[in-house]
Amino acid sequence: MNPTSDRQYVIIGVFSTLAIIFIFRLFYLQVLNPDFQEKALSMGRKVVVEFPMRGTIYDRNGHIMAHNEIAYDLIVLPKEINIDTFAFCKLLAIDTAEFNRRIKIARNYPNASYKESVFQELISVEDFARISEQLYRYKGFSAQKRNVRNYPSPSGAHVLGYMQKVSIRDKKDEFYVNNDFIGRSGLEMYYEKELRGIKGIKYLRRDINNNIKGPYKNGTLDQRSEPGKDLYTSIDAELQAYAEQLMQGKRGSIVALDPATGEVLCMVSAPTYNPNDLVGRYFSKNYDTIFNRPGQPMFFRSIAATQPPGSIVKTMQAAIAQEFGVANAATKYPCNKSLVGCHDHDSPLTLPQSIRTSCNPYYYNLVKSVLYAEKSGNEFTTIEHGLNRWEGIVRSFGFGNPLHIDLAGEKDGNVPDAREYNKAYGKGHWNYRTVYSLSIGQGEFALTPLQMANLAAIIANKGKYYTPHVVKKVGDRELDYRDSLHQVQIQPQYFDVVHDGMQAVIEEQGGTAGRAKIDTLHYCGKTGTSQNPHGEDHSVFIAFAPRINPTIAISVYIENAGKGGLWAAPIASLVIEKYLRGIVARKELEESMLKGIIKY
Amino acid sequence: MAKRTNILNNIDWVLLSIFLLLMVIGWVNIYGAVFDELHPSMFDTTQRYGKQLLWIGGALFLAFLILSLDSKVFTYSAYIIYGISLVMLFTTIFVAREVNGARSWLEIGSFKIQPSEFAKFATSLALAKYLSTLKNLKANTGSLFELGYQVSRIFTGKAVFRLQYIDWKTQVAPMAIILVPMILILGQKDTGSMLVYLAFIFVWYRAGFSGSILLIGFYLMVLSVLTLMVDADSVISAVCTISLVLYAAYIKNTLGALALIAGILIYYVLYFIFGWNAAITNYLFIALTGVFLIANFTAELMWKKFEKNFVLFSLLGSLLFIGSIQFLFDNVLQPHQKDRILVLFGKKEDIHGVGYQAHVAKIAIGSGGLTGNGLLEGIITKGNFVPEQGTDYIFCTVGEEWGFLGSTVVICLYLALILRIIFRAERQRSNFTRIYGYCVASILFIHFMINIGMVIGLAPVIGIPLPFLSYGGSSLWAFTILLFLFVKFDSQRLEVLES
Repeated sequence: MNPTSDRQYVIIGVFSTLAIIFIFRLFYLQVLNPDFQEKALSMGRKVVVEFPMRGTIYDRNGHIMAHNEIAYDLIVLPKEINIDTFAFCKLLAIDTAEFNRRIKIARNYPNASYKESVFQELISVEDFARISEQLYRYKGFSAQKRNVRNYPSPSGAHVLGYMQKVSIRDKKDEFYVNNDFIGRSGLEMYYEKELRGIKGIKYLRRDINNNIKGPYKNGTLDQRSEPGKDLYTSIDAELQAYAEQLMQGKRGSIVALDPATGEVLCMVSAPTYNPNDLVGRYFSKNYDTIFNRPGQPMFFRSIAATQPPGSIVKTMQAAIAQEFGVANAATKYPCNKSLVGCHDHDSPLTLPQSIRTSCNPYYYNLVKSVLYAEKSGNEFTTIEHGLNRWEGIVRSFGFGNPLHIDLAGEKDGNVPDAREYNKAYGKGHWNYRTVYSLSIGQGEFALTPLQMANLAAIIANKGKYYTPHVVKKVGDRELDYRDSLHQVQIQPQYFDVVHDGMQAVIEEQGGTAGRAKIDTLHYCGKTGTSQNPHGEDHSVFIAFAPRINPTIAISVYIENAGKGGLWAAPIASLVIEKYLRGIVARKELEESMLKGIIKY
Repeated sequence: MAKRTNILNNIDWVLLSIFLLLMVIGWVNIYGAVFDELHPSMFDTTQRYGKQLLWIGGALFLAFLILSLDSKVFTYSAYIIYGISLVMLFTTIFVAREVNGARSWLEIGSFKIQPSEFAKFATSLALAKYLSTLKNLKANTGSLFELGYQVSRIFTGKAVFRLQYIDWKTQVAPMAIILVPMILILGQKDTGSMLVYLAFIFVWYRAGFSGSILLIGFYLMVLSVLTLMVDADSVISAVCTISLVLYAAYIKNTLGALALIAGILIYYVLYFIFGWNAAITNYLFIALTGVFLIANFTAELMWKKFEKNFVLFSLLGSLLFIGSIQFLFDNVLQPHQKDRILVLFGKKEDIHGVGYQAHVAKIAIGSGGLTGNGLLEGIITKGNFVPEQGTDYIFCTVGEEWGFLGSTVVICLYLALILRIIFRAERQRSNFTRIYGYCVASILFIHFMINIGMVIGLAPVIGIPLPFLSYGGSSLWAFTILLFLFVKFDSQRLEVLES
């Protein structure tokens, strides 16, 4: 009837096509694109974060080692700024160029049009008091409460650790946002998740003018902040401070444990730094300064410096020889200096005397008999077998692997086995002459100061130890040290001879640590001298006290200070005296140790 | 007369239902969009949602009024109504205050109306009346090819352009009916409302004007979008390539065709070697194409083989068009209009300035997800982040609070409304009612296309309302009149005896 009535289908087609395009577009925008929901929330919803108080760290006597101070961030919403720039700069004590620089940064943040960013962070309470009463005049700026660490005593820096601003990698954990701090070393890092608490989040609705219109979803999504859990450590803060004083002018470490539990009583890494210097907004500036000071103050020697332990391992060798049945208290060897160097002393010596005197040739022979104790094929396979057996027992002392103390950054040290020598020299191309230095704790053998202290604890306990640990209680949760009992593969009675020898080290004529004697206190120690390619030998000493029912096991190692008896032993004895008696009576020794400076 | 007294007897209930549904959806979404916590009642007439209810009441009254009158009142007075609306449009230019850069509101006391809204149905009435009275409106099935052929005949001197070729009655007058209000509205600086009149292209097309209109229109639209989106040079080289390939297919000389194809290939090899941005290769190509065309054209002239030149002429036309689009964009458009176009095509990212509205609208809609956040739960809507959210951007609220499902329902309702009008229009015996129906469907379609296209980021920002949903008395009433005139004509279709 109408010549062009077919054209209705073209029109219907065009109209319908457009509607379908719209529906596809809406499907793309609304269903396939979850970004928009996030964007909408970041525009219309203001998230107010309530920063939880980080857990306090206490020492074993309830003294605070680390707590928090309130600080304020000045935050800015660039598009709202309407201020007298000159007066504002004066208030903050910055110049206009700096102001413009920061505003430019703030403007370039993603979502800067509706999301505040930090303009100046972590302003102290005192400074903020002055700023806050003026702040209402400066539209676009507001404050946000934060907290920063404060350490009442400037000691224990390495154990406590420091905190640093989060990096991009940290932000994979959605707990963290820009400008948050995270534990980077020591307890702060190891117990980060316990210490940090739970952030409080308040969601508010806001309009285009950034006016708050009330809670978002009636506050049903809000979370209350929960403070971090407190850490109750086994550190004796007083002892720690004292030990740090003793280490002034020296490089090295002091580690003291309670052998009955594995608790760390003090842990010094020298040189150290004031933990308050690595707090808050001055972190990066101070970090570089401290990092570049001589002696690597940031290096946590107690758990990360691996050194040949020197003669202190003779105590262990003596116990192993008995376990292998190749020696007893009466076993004698002459001091044959042609085998290995030694100092002048009586000869021949018994097993306890060899510990007292630290006779090197004695241990050359003793360990040789240990390694050849079980015949297995030819001479080479016998020593290969013997060395691996020896290595197995040595590893049961917790050597060659980290002890898994609750601190970040622990190293494992090294206990060589036959494979290591086979790799270095080739199978069949090494013999006892190649490995004898293990007998006196030199060569490829390497321990951390913590492992050395743990050796003292093992001997004190006659063959068992609990994993060394710093924290006894997290919040309300007691950590049970008894779960971490380790048994060394040596029978307890074999340690009696070792104790005799170690007591003689301090108390008998010819002992290597006569300077460490504490009048009536009977205790056990062993000196060591760690050879190293960087100059003078390191001075090493381990001890536990008292001999009966020991309550402290200690290792002291001082870099390039020579023989163990010279520096390490007296310093260890002072720490022991301080811990057991509260005061140090040997003033003269104390003074000479405090004042002693090792030239590096 | 029973038919007169029972006015609801023959009306199309589908249209009426969709109309009511859309108004209710509009009202609820205006409530969501401009909700004020101090005035929580949907019926509070100090707020826009309360006022919209008044407008809806008025619209219902208008609908009732139209249905109770005899439709002849409108058919007879179509030109008078058209005339009055032109006078109002003209007056508005001079008496209106400037609001948002446009002078489109006529204020009588405290009462404000927008004459351009009402001019739509007036123009529709006039156009329908005029076209329906035309006898011998030839169905011109002419194609793009035919148009090119005609142009080429004139160009090559085979035919001469004469005034007599123009049919004043069937070509110029219908165009004038549309152009006059368009020019007046342009005088009000209301570009958006003016663009709505492009809707009448569909009406012409259905009424029997050349089909090339739609094709050419579509082709030119694609060209202009590409020109603005990519750049003129690239589009020109693309058009040149296509034309040369087509031409190569036409010519009988195989060697020549191969040479042509080889030339194009060499060009693209150069293009890749010198990189996409090497303008020099573009200009070289365009220049070579030009030389080739002129040479070829001269040869063709000599050999008098004009009929094959369609491809060349359409190419020339395209190049001319691309040039003028670029010229228009560079020299005629105002900075803010240019920015809107650049933002649409993603060439300019300015989410804090001109691009903000389009940006935030997309976020609002996108955040609705599949099922939406629920009434009064749209966070962008509630924070008043979208400017004009009660009026032009009402679809944002639909998107955010009712999600993909809600938005799809609204789109389907519009499509149903428009298709229902076409369906009813096609069943008319009277040419007038059919043409008027197409006017209504096309105007609704253009509004739907531009408004929702703008809100979901497929069209530049052009401020025109979404029919029946956007807040505002003028637009609601004008659309009601537009629609119900058709409902009325449709209800009386059986009384019309002959077409």
